[in-house]
Amino acid sequence: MAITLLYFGPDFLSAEWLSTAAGIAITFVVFIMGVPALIFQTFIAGGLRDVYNERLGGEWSRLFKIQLGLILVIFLMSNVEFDKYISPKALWIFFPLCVTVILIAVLFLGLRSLIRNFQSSRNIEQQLSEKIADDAILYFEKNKAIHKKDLEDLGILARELRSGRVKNIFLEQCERLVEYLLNVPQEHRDTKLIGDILSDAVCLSVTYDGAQFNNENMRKALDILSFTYSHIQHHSVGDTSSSYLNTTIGNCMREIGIEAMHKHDQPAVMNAVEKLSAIEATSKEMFILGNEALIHGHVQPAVAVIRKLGGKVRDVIGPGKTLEYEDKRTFYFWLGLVAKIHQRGGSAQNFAQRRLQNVVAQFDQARDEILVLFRETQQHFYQVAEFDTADAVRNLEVALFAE
Amino acid sequence: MNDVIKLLWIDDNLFHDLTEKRMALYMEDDIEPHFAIDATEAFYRLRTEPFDVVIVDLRLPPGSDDMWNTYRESNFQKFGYALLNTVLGPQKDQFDHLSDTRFGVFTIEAQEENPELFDAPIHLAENNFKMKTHAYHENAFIDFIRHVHQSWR
Repeated sequence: MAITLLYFGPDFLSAEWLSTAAGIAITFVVFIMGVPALIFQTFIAGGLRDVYNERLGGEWSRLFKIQLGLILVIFLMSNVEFDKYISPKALWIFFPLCVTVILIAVLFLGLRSLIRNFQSSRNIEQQLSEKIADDAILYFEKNKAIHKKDLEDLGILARELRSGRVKNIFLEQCERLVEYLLNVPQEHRDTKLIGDILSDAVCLSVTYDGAQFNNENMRKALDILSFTYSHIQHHSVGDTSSSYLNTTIGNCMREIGIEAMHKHDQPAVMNAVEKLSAIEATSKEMFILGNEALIHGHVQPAVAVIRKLGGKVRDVIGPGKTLEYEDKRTFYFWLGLVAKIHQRGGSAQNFAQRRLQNVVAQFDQARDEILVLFRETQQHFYQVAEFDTADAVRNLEVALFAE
Repeated sequence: MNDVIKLLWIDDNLFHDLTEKRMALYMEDDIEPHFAIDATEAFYRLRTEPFDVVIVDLRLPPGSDDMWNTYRESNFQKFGYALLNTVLGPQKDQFDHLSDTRFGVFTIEAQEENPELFDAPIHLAENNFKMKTHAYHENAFIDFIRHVHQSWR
């Protein structure tokens, strides 16, 4: 209608007409801006709103400035007498054409923004995850570090995002970021940084008290941790800092396993046990997981941990053999868990006896050596105030070597 | 001490449909079971550790690593086959420690659907292929593992 008036109205540039045109444009702009803003403020989670406004809210202010500028041009055209500089022959077409183009631009930009906002409202979380990962990678390329704000925002998303597909998309973006950092040449690789992302984003997203997660999310988080470990092991030469990363990964897997146990998610617990067992020097984490399982009445994870630790013990133990510190620790944790299963009696005791059979039988001719190991195990658990386990080992020793 | 079969079983259903079989393996004195749920995890475990027996499901997810991208691009689904093909084929040099390892396949597909398993470079023995069925008992599966252990590849 405005365009019809422009071309066929006799006073198309009168003050009255211009104010009407500007009024329509402003109403349109308010509508275009207001509706999406209302939708976002209503439906986006409170914790994510600030992150969204900082990361993806810039388009709103850019569009507003452009549209305001275009409306100001209409006002200027009616108040600045630059028609003096235009040939009278072209005057009849110049002004209507300018106003038409400006109005079409305002309408087009507004409509495009509205459509994009409505389309994007379905995937706000996905866009945010991608944007933060992109920003972090860009910042790293320039500064060889990750911006603190990016890490903080990943932590916010880890806590706030819904479980299921949305959280998995977030974890995929974390994986992309970790993979990028793993592929950085070894001299620039920062394992501390990778560890921070794993613990403050990946692990936190499934262990944070109150965070929403499901089995699929647990599996994804464990996959990322396991992949990071494998990648570091196979693509590093003499990298001493990877032991920090191993510890972080081990701790994260243990936490995920314990959290899964509290949620009675047995498959995730077993998956955590399996992946932990593939990591060097994680016998303590495995013991904690197995012990926690027994405390919560889940025997199967404890059985799995005993078999895993038992395999490692079998490879190193024997009469006359000198055990490294780490191997001794593995033995302590294995024996501690076997003792706890043993004191449950019945079938559990039978399982424990079968596990002990092979190890103890080796020491038939060297009873003193195995007794020393039993005493050291008791001492180890006593020192860390694991009195239940220390007592269980002592009871087992009495049961086995009573004579 | 008895000989213990160090087993790696690769299947994405290990923690769901196959829970009973997995737990039954933990209870066997002569089997030391290890598990992987995708091709990437299995690849890295096979690269570092020797195993006596490796049982593979053909329809595996690829996992995170980019090494499977060529298979992914052609919409290939059988990453178990891709894994066997990689370990026993082009990258064989990296897996010298698996020279005595016996491979078996435990999958929902029929033997006739996978003739490529019995050709180079995999050369799977026909008896080392077992089809998954609901009626397949835990003990039969454990016997299958022992059979694979005693077989020649």
